[in-house]
Amino acid sequence: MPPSASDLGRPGDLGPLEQALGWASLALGVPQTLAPGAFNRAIGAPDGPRAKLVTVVAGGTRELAAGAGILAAERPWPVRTLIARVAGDALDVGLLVASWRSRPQDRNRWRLALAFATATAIGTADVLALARAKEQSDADGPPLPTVKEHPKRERTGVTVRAPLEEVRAAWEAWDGVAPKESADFVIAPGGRGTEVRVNVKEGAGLPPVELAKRVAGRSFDQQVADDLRHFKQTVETGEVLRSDGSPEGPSAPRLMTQRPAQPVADPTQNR
Amino acid sequence: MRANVWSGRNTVQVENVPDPKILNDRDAIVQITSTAICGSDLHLYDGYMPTMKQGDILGHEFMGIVTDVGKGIDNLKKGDRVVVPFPIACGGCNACAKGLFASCENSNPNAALAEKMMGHPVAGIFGYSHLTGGFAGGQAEAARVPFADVGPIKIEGDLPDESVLPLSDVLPTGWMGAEMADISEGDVVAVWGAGAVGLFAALGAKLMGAERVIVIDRIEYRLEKVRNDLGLETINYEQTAVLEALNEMTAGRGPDACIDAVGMEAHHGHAAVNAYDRVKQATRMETERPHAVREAIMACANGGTVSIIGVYAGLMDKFPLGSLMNRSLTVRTGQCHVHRYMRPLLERIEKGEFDPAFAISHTMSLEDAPKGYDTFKHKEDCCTKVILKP
Ligand SMILES: NC(=O)c1ccc[n+]([C@@H]2O[C@H](COP(=O)([O-])OP(=O)(O)OC[C@H]3O[C@@H](n4cnc5c(N)ncnc54)[C@H](O)[C@@H]3O)[C@@H](O)[C@H]2O)c1
Ligand SMILES: [Zn+2]
Ligand SMILES: [Zn+2]
Repeated sequence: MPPSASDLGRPGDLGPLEQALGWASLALGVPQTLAPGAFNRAIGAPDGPRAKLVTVVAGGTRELAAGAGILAAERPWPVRTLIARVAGDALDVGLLVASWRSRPQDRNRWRLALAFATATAIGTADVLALARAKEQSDADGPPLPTVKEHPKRERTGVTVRAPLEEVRAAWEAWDGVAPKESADFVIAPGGRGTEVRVNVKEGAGLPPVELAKRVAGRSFDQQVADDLRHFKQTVETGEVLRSDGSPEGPSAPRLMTQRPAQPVADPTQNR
Repeated sequence: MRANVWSGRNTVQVENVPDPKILNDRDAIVQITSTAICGSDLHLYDGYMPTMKQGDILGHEFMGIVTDVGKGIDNLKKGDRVVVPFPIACGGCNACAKGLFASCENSNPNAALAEKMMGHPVAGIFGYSHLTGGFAGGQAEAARVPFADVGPIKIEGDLPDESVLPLSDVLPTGWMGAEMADISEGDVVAVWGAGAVGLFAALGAKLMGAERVIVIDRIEYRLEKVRNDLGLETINYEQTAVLEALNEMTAGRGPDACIDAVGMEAHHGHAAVNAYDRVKQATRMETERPHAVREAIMACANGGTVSIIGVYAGLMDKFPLGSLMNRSLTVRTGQCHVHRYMRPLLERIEKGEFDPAFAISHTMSLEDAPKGYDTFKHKEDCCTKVILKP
């Protein structure tokens, strides 16, 4: 079954590079947004009001959006966010170059050089991550663990609180749906009676027919399950218990068409 | 006969329905003399219990006179006065053999439905949705009682209905809530909810030797009952921060056992939190409104026990599993295995150790069932428990 848009994986489904980039975005975005002046001084850039505004708008907001995009919104292959990041990296490099040019005499220029080197490294990582994400998302969609339809069980069982020989004898006399010869009997552990197992797999018909039968409560395994309940009840209590909602006792078809829980009018009394 | 039937959310009505008949050899028919409305019925009334059908006869707490028995019954005869336990149990399966009557493997014809919703089936219960079998309930003039050789208990003396009817559910349920708390010397026990179940849980905890029992609710007349009839302490959660109060009362330890006698329709003192779970419940994104059980877990002392006797139907949000796990708490819970408590509790009542009638506030005619539900739901007129007389 293909995954729905809402369950495209969890943070752990991201590759390590993507995860690192997502967190790095948040780690950069927070100081850029909350303390742009201090941030600019740390990287050796100008820290006047205009430069601070540029850092908040072009830096902080963008990084936060990218972090959120990678970690929360566009998983597990955040192609569009990574494209935005690569564009942002180009902008960063441009701004750093502009700062370098604007203060030729500054002895803090080494900090700008460091920031430049960092921005280039991040840019390279972004380009690599983007290439990989693009390839993955084009190729085979998200790398989710594949949900396989389990094969249908061939046997089903019930535990009956009675000695094995008694259960076997009752089964011999039982006129039910479950394939009689397929039954085997095992003593249940700890005095729990007898385990009975039978085949529930029938040669399957056409899928639409099988589905219709199941909806009506008439598929083979549903019939066998009801039959085993009747058998267990008969051995353990002497009868099949009826209720107002399910007058026949356990019955899968009756589950869809429950009577109200009130006594049935006596047909002979014509009420 | 006349019976109180469910006819949609917040509506019950008393109608003419066919008389019950023997359907199985181990059935009995009971002419009902008294039947009660329970907090559990409110979950159905409010429409939070799935698988109800219009026309379902409600009621799982009832007693009366046996008028007919199937040919497999020889312990009861016409004219016997009996109280009927709310779970239906066969007495012959592995669960019944272990005393887990409310988990009987043979009493729910709709077991397959319960199995789908809960993983494994639950027992049949009278008048309590189709998930628990689709059995007609006891808010009626008469009811059919399956496995009548296992469930009903004969009342031989002349105790009034009011003193023995609580044996059908709320007294054993409260008692089991206290028993699951595993009370030992010096234990402080806190009980959430001062309805009939909470009152009996508190009574049980006291009689089992708790050092202190503290009951939490916001309905002052009910808390008054706790103080006056049981002589126990109370906290009104609308006036007091419960966790802080309990911490102070236990000098920081927290109660050794916390009993949730509130269930899936708990209310929260903070409007916003209350609204959050109300919306989620109303839109069926969760089935529970679990404020009491959340608080019970947070309050409980490290290594303590949380006993959940309030009813839950399915799925809940924001369950503090971390608190439970990291602090070595134990959770115990269950529908009450009423059968195993009826005899010993009846003996205590007969000996005069206590009289459960104190929990009953209203007696009405069966015809007034709709009014009874309304009064009980809205906690009007100092209502703690309503008995209906057919
Ligand atoms: N496990 C069983 O076998 C079993 C049997 C019977 C009843 N119950 C359940 O027990 C619960 C109580 O039944 P009742 O008949 O006493 O019902 P009730 O409605 O009379 O009482 C419930 C009380 O809980 C109080 N309450 C609500 N929110 C609270 C909160 N956050 N903190 C503290 N108290 C709060 C209400 O004010 C009310 O007084 C219900 O859920 C019912 O279904 C369980
Ligand atoms: Zn009840
Ligand atoms: Zn049983």
